[in-house]
Amino acid sequence: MSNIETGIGKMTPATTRRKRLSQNQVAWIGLIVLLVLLPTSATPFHLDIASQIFIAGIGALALMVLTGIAGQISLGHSGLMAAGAFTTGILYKEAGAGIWITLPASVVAGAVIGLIFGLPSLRLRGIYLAMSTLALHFLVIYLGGEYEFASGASTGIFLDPPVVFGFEIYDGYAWYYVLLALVAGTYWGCRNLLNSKTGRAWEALHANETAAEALGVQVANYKLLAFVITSGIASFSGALFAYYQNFVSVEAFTLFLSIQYIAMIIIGGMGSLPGALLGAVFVTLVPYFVEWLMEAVPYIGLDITTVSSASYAAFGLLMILFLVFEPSGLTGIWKRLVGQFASPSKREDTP
Amino acid sequence: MYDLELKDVELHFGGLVVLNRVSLGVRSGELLALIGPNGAGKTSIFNCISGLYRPSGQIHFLGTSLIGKKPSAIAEMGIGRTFQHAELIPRMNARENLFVARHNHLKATLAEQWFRLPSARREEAEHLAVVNDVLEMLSLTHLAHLPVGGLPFGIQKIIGFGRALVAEPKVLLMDEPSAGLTQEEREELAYHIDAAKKQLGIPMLWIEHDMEMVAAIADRIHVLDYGRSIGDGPPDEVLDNPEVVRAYLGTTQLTQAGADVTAPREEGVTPV
Repeated sequence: MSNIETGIGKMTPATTRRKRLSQNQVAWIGLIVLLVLLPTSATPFHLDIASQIFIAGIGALALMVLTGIAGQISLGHSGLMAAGAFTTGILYKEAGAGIWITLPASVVAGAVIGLIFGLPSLRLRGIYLAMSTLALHFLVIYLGGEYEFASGASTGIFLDPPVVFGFEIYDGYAWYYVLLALVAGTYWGCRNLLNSKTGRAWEALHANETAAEALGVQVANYKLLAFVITSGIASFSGALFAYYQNFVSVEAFTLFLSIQYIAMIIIGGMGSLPGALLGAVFVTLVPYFVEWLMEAVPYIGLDITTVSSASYAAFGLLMILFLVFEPSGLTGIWKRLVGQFASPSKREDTP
Repeated sequence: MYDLELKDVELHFGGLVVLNRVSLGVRSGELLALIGPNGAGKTSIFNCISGLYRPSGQIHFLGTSLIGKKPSAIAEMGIGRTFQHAELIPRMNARENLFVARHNHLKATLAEQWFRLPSARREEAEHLAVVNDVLEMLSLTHLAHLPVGGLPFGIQKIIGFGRALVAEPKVLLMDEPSAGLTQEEREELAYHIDAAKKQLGIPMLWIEHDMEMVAAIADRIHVLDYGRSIGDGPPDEVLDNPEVVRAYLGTTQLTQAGADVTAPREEGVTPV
């Protein structure tokens, strides 16, 4: 914006960027300090919710990059998380592998599955692509179920707490900080990617494949790359989920989970990485909120079935409300609020 | 000797003959205007060159055949183009839209990009400088931060022209860059096209309906009608050719009449 003063020639972009970053940095540092200090006044219940949000956040970032940025619709997210969880669970159970093996192996497994299930995207679009990724979900769940049955672990696989450099990650505080660091790292990496050649290529092919190709973007390669990278991350979050729950079972990875992730990116705001995190917070909190609401309202029998069906209904309603009234999601609301308070000259639209 | 040459290029859509043995060539530093009525096959020629269509015949760029190559590979060889409808990325701002066209100049690996290593950061800054230079040259700097989806069509077209320049093309194909522009914007565009020709010294192929612009800055004109070449030569010669007049000028007068209707509304004065 302030590039009009180009008297200093090539220095201008760099200085402009530094100035803008330092403005943002204040907000980011504030947020990080807040998140780091939060556990000091939190109950184990709060820490548990926060940790769930962080795991969901990693998965939501992956889906946001794939769908919100590169424009490839997927219903296979739950299946990819299952792939990560089972890779970790099986390696631990069969070989006693530690996290330095299980986590990279889960990422690789997810990436390979992503590559295979990304192939239909070269031919299919929209709802047809969604249906083909659905096959991924059922395949992984089927294989996971077969393993559980064959290994006699028909209720699932139990995992011991992971050990990192001699420390056992067991209590809520340790999990909170580990997962916070991981979600922050994932966010940072994704953001870097989006501000680079790869992210711009994804945006370009999302907007118009023919034009992107004519600009020199190898559309097929970049589509597959989007599937590979985001599937690796989704699988990674599945592995973390397994460790966090100390338990792996196909029951956890329903089709509804995939839909919840789609809800996160829609509610958060399509195409925005902070939106993915906002969506993860929101969607993770919905069932708790519904439960709280139902407790507050008299004459409602409170059991697990009513709470979960009320949650389903709440999701459906929320997604419709957001799609109709706020397609740019929580990010859109946030930007409008900031826009109202910030002076017009300070408004900058760079993602 | 032509840098970019088409020989007997034929294209069929089902039974429809879109291009009928079209042959043409452009030298470096030459601005060749491609004119003809709507549906004559002008954009189809561009799509054949950039690999979006698969014609028969020959298309050579500096001795290398382009037939059968992927569009991205052809773009990577340095064949840049603009689109009739700009085809920008609406969610991105002008600066980012131009940056996309640096794609093949950026060499950072995936890991360098993910961790934003100093090498990647340096590379981004260098290429951002090129993008900013082009924005500055086209007087777009003050709009560079706005999402292009909300900008007027004329501005989008100029951004599209800038995007083609940012790629540092070795051949430039421009598909009706002036369509949708006001008279004032057209004059500015004509200046930029002429300047680009002189600065870059590359072959330029230019689809245009505005005959005044063509007569003013084109070095040569190639005329298409129903997928056939019906004329090729210097502007004054071609525009006087009776066959060209018969096939084309009827439509030109229509276009100019259209321009006469719209121009006063926007300008309050008759166009030059």
